[in-house]
Amino acid sequence: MNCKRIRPLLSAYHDGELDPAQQAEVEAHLAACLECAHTLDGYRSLGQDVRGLPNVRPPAGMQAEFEKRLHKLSGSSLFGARGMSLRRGLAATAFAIALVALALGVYAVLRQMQLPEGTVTVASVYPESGATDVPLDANLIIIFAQPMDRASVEEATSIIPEKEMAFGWKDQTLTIVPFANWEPATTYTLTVATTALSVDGMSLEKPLVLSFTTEEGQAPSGGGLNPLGRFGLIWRAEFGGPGGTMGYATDVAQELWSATQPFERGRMIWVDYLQEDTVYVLSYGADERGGTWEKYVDTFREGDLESSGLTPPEGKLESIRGFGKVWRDELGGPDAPIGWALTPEQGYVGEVQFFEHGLMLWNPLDGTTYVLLDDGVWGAYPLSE
Amino acid sequence: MSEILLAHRVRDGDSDAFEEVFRTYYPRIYNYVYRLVENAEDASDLTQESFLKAYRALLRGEEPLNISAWLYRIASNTCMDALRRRRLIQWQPLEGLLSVLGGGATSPEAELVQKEQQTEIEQVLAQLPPRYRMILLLREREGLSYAEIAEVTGDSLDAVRVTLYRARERARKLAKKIGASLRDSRPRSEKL
Repeated sequence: MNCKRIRPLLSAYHDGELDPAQQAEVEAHLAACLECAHTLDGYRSLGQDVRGLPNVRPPAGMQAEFEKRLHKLSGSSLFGARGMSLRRGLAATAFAIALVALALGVYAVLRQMQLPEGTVTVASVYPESGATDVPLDANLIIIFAQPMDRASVEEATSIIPEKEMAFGWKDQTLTIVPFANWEPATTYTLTVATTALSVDGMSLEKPLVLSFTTEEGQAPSGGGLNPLGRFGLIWRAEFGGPGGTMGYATDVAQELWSATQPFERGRMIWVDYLQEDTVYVLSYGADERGGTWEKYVDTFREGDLESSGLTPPEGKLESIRGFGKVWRDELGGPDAPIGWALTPEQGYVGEVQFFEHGLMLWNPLDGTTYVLLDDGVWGAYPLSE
Repeated sequence: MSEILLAHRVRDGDSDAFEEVFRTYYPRIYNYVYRLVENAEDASDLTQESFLKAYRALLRGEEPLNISAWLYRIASNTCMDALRRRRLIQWQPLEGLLSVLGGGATSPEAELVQKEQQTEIEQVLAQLPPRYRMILLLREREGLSYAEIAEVTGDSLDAVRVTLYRARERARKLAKKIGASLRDSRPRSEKL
């Protein structure tokens, strides 16, 4: 009987998603293997716990709120609806005109009734309107002179050509982060419509229009990507960005289950890739900020020997499980150049991005990005202050 | 109402037909979204956003064969996108970019309080990578088959199987760590 072969099938067995032959094989194994039966029980308990989570009641006004939004949308989209008959179309047009007239009337009344005196002013913007050579990963910053109703500002903000954006606020400062880099040599126009309100209900006197043109830049080669966020910053600042030593990113950053363990003269990092778990062994060079690295496939499976019971020197640990297996089998155990483990391994959800000539690993536990280059050298980049 | 008929009615500008879709499905979708993003306010926004996307897709002429799997797909993508945005903002070096998606990043203190109020299984789910959390919820809570999950995630059946296996293994280990003794102390069922 082979637990290693059966184990990945257990989860599908639990779901009733195996073919009859595989099912029979798993059942025969389960009858004889306590360990696998125990794992299956674990899956069942997990399923029960997830199903047992209480249902959450949606907020009371949610349906009404949605219907309002839907009507707003269906009102505006009547003209655009395809496949409409002429009669329906005409009726819809009349209805839409009536709606617009009604909306204008209501708006005029509301404006007189509710809007306080004065208007919102914008203290400053970055980049300035008309700016050229704006970096491809630049954020846009708008500083308002008053505290703003954030939702209304976000709703009132649009950009042409269209681009997905994320909004971040700090007091009266709005930072707009593009989801992906700006296109090179492109003129963008950002508009904040007058529906943006301050917390006091004041609106912009006129729409804020901000046009800027991005730098020429190099289009990533062979479908490559410019990395974003922290990886992007390190890539630009430390590795020369486009045309630099790492090349372009070859895929978007992924959030992956990871673990790490510090050693006397290095560190191990394990990453749960879909295809193959991998252990990176980082040895310290002159100091703890860099050195050389090697990569191993994690061959540890549940049921394997967890440790070999060696006695570590005082204050040190023997690495166990996947790390332990690499440490003993590949690095020579007690003779390993990285020495003994210092603290137990810790798991976390890390972030990984591959580049043409290396990869970056983000560890939220120590706030550090580890950059591993294909030439076998690595460096650590702590969270910038 | 048949799903094709419904799609046609919506496309012809009948928004009442879509209200019916919303009324039928929103409690389920809301619950799913809530478990994915773990925040009531975000869940309400993202659920509504998902339904508005669905409405627009119907207007564009999309004809879903299985409306519930289709809604799960739109909701899943909307949430994964939102979680990605949340992360992207958190990574910005500019200080204090904390308010994203009407809640977004929480302070360490708030996180601690939230943690204390969570049950063990909620903590396990919260600590799983979003993709694992999504697939586990789709299977165990929403009761989707592998084929339906594949439709939602756009993965192959093999990928669904492998991801679920990994999600469960990860969840079991997390549960052990968090101290959910259930997993290991519960008596084994008599017959497998």
